[in-house]
Amino acid sequence: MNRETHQGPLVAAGLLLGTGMGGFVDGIVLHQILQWHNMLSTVRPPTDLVTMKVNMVWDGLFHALTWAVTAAGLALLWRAGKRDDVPWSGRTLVGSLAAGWGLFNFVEGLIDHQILGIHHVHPGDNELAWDLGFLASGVVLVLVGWALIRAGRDDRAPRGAAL
Amino acid sequence: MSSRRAHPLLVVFALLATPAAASACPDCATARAARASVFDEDFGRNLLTALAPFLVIGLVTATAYRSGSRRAPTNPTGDAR
Repeated sequence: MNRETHQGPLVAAGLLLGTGMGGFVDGIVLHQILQWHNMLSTVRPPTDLVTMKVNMVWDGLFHALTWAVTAAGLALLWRAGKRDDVPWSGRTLVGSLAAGWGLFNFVEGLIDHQILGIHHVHPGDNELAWDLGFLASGVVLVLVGWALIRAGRDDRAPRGAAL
Repeated sequence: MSSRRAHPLLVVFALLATPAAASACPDCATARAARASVFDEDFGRNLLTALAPFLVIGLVTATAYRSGSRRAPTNPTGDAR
């Protein structure tokens, strides 16, 4: 390799795709399958059909935003794959996916659960413990992702290059 | 009718019945009340709330795109630069 390489485009793609994966797990598993919370379930508890439908609308908007982030991540991944100055590293991509997922858990948890309090992970007796656990999972994922991204700095071959 | 043919018929029946149930209330009183509650005076605040985490993540991603690790070209001779 006789040019400068740049890890950023692949990291950015992975961050957005990881955010999308984390968002969909939250929305599909916690909102829909387990029904632990909805987008506005603390400020507008879904106790009747109208408030359930209201929360369904805001859950839908959350899923739409998550879809848009995932689509943007795919676009960035496609562009990164066409650049010969971007190392095509599995460690970088997996690390970025983990970091993106963790970033989602941490940022969404901090803003929606802790600061605004519009919903909590598992409302009830141990509400704060569940919220803190969600934040902690985000920190762990970011740290694991960060370590993998750092390890991926040693990978230099662009996509399609001979191994 | 054999039991082997009963299953597809049941599936068709279920498929025909499902849309009727799903579209039962597109504009009934409950749906109108829900829409009014979504687009009430808190709509802007709720929208900003829903957007906020994604905006923060977008900023972090843009920073990562620009400042991700750059590596200088490798030196084929192995000499220090």
